[in-house]
Amino acid sequence: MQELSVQNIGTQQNRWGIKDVVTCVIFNIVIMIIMTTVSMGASMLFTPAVAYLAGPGIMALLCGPLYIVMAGKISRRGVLFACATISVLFFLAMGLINMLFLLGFGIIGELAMIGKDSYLNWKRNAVGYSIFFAGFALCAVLPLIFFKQKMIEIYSASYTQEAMNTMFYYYETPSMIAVMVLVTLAGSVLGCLIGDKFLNRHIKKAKLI
Amino acid sequence: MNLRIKKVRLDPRTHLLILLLMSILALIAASHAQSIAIMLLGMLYLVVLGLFKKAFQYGLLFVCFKAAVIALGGTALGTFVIIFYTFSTMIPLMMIASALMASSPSVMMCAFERMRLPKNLIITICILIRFFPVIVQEMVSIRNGMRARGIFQHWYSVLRQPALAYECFLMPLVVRCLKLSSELAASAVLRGIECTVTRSSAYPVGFRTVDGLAILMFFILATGIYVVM
Repeated sequence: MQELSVQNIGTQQNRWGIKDVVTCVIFNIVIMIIMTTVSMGASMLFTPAVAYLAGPGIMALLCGPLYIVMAGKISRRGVLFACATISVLFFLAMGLINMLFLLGFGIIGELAMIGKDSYLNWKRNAVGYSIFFAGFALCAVLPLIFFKQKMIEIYSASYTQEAMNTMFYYYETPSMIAVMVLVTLAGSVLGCLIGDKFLNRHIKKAKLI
Repeated sequence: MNLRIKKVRLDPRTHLLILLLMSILALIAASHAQSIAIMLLGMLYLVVLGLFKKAFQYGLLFVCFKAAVIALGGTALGTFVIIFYTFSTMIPLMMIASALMASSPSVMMCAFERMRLPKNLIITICILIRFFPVIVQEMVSIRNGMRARGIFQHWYSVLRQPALAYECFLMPLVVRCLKLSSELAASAVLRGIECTVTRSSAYPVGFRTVDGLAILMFFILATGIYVVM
């Protein structure tokens, strides 16, 4: 006979239960805190080249283990899209309207995760997560392509001409964008691999998943 | 004489709408005068709601960030200027968000349910708003626990073995997050979060004249800041 626990009441195989929603939000809060800390740290400690090109890659590397544990724990369709939605809500509350592009990448990432038990496979997770983080990196580039004049007006309030030229060099040069995306993809895959190792070494042993 | 100030209580949906308007205003504001006016508007909003302490704290923080921007303006520390400037533009948004956070979770859920938002989205918004300080507190506790046990006692100890330091910090945090989500979900289910009937609240929930006035006044002042300055 199937054992019923309080948290399983009302939840179906593919439907998200309250526990799944809560797990997703709590892990995403931690991911947001790490992303904000890395973003600030990279800007302060590293040269602009490292901060612009490797910043999203470092974030992906550090957040990868958290994402893998979260995906393994929830293991239902829509985890990646939920991550994208929560990230967008958080960034919108911070006034970063350009992060709306991330929703589109969340949908593409979710489409890449179609299939049974894809969230339990670290390689499949790495594919979806890489698309999500590549989208995150491109969220700074896309507004410059579509609304350049408005972005110059906004940035000119805080950036010096020199800082703005540096930023535009990294966000408008195709080779630099390619390097940034490649570093992000590498960070994402490595983060997911480390996450899988953590999952097997600690979380599964402790029977938390 | 006992002077009592009556606090204005607004619907969470009003806070959410004003947060959206404030985000747009903060995005389109370009000059320093506009950013100062937006901060004053945020302070006025908190004062009207009776949140004087928060208005003062955020105002002081804004002044500190602006002072840092001016002080570091001509130096080689341009990156810090960008960071402080970004934080100073976020302060008006934090002000409105703090007004929303001051609302009871029950009122928030009841109000958002009336907007016919999906239940999972409502839960997400409520946890996002309420749990940021809790998670930060958990992180501080883990750090203190590590220090008490003599693990990575100094900040530079982390630089010697960064991978091990990250693992030592991450694993307790992941376990705590998993436990926290289980406990919170069980508590929410036992309080009837999965119940399909319309939610009620002990507090009055609904749009009143004061909400309409607040939105109208905010819209007029925001338009004034954008057009005149």
